[in-house]
Amino acid sequence: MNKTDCRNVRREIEEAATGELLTTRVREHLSRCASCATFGDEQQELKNMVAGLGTVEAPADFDFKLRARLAASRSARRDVLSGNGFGIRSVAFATLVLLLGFAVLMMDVRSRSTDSAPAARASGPASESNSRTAPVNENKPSEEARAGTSPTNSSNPSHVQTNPSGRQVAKSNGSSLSQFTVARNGQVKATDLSASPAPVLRPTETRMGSSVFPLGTSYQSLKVSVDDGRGSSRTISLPTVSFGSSRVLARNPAPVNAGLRDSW
Amino acid sequence: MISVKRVRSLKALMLGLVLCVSATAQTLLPVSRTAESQITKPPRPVQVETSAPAPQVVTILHRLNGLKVIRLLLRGNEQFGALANIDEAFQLAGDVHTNVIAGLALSDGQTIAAWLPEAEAELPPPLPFAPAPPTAPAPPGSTRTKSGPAAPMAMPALPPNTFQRSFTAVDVKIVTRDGRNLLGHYMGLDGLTGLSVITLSTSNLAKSADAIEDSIQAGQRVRLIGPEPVSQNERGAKAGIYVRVGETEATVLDVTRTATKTLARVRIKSPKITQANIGAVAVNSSGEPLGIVNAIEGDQASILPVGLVRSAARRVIARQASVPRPWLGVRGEPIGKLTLERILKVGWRGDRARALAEKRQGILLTSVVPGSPAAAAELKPGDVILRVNDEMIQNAEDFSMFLQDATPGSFVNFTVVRPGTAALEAFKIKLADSPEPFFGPIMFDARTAAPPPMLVPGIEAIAIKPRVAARLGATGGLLIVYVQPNSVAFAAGLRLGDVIESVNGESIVTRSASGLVNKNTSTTVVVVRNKKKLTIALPANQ
Repeated sequence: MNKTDCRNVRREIEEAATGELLTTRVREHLSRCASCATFGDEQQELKNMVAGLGTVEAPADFDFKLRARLAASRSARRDVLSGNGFGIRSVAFATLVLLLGFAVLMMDVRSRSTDSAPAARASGPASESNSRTAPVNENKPSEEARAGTSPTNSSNPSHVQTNPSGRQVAKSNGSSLSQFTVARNGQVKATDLSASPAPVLRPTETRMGSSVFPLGTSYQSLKVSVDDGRGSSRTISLPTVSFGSSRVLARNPAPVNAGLRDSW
Repeated sequence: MISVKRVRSLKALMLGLVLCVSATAQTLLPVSRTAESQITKPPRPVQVETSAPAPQVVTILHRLNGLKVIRLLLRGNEQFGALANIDEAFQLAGDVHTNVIAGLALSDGQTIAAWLPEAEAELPPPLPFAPAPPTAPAPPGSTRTKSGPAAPMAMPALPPNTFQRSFTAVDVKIVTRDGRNLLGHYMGLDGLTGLSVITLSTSNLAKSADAIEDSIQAGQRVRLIGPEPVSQNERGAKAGIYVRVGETEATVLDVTRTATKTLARVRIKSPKITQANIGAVAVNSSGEPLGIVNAIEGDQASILPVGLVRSAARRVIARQASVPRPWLGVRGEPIGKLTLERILKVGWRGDRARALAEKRQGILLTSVVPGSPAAAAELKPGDVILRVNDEMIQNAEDFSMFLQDATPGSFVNFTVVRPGTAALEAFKIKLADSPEPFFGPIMFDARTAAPPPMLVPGIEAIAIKPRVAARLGATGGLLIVYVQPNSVAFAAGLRLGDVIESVNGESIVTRSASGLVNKNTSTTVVVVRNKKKLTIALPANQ
């Protein structure tokens, strides 16, 4: 007996549905090959056993729970990727930075205690322009400057601020971004930052913000018993809510799938 | 024992570390120290990236009452003899199911297209298939003009929507991205794309430009936007079901265009894609819509481009009702995707098969539905359709697009090459409505299955057992789950939700009671409506 024949016949037997008539070629082969005939009987017996088992129905809320968990899982992944979640590496890095900062602070305190020379405090009003350089009188620091505002930039207060320690910070005023620094000779140097790329932060979705709304219904599985017309009945569990393409009855045919159509 | 050299190198290393820390301290100290030197490399500001909001994506709540769900049960592949029992909470007239899916507001701010999976519940039942009688073969070489099967293939046009609305009362609610709730009017379903078209009474939706089709290319990032449930962990102690609009990122894999350069399909890929993404709206990074996801296969999805979505909406709006798809009655595969072996298997021989495979043009017919327009024109499996209306067919999308341009009932010219003859043959075929206009591919193979018997033409009904009947104030009979609005049954007074208890004095217990109705004489039926008995006379010759 040809091994390829046996293999083909067995595959056909396996693929045949319960009760489906086998082809003449297979039946002829089975009459000649005892091994395949035994295999066929075993398969038939197995299929009958499986067919005799009751239908196992998933709980009615299975789809809903699965989708909710998938959505939650996706949301959690987004959080981690976008920086709200803290991994081990992030924690380790943060600890290292803290330690380094502490060491720097300690060294600074020590150096301050030994250094009797007064530190020159740089302060002064910022310039009124975004990109041009303007002279600043370093020896006459104004109260406004110490308070973080400047008479000269009062028309655009959000643009540049000087903090109480005299350190300057840059702020965006919309379209252009500039950074101001004060030199010892009293000049302010402005650097246009719009040409350099900025680090990007992606905010995570507001979980229970305005984009979340109640459906106005609670989950409840509804049962419908149907009779097949031959005396046996069964109960169908119907979900009250479905998302996306899932259907109230999983067995119903899906609507037209234009992308995969092969019939016209 | 540590050598002196090693101790020295360790000391040097420590010194280096101290210097490094000092240098760092210098840069981090307050301005009092740093002001002495000019900063040339300022710290960079942080830019916060927010995704474009895509306000034209809305959430659709499609609610079904109990009768519609039973209608779906009846039309499904269930062995459905009778309705034996239903839960107390299962109300035939009340909402029992809600489908939540995305919708795309089109540029007029008033029309929405969506892929509603339960659109079938709002449609009439599929009509029984009636094959046309076989015809004598036409002489080879001549142009054959064949019409498709006659009635009852054609899908009956529904009456104006004012009437249909009051009858079927499609419950569609729209939730916009800014939280507004709007009532939608279900206008109909486009059979070609499977999209439902919903309109609003006024232009209430965000108006925005669609993505430029020419700009869509492989590698582009897209976002799939659609509603998703909020899990118990996230909603905390809040009871009930909460919905939010979620996003899935994907990348364009390839773009298929037709011979006329129209965008036919966009394929995208993402490991995060699931079946839940079907129906989602795809937008580009600027928030401009690309189309609607209409198929998922593994980690890939197919997007119906927004141009075709707009065409579908135009078709439905023009008819003010559902539009069946034009039907030829063939199944096939594009030659470009077939191997030479596959072509040889269907009857092609030698050089001709090789030439066909090399040209990679046309659609190889793998089956022809008996009685269909294709069968009436004597198209056969193995034939290759090369051209439609003189336009060369390169792929399945081309073929769909050219047929899409035709309407049911219109004539289309096909150029065909056959395994047995060298010459090209021309066919002029009148397309029919699809016998299953909206759910064709799945039911394509079940065309010979007999439709459920109807007691009276134009109604769909299901037998109910005494426990269900008692809730409706009846003793038993048939529950009407659909009445064709322009049917004799409707004109006679039969209505949705009625229970037909008896016909000509005889009680009804099963659906197959059509023998009780004699078409040549008038019939008297007793129905229970709102727990009250009514007698209705059906005229003869229904």
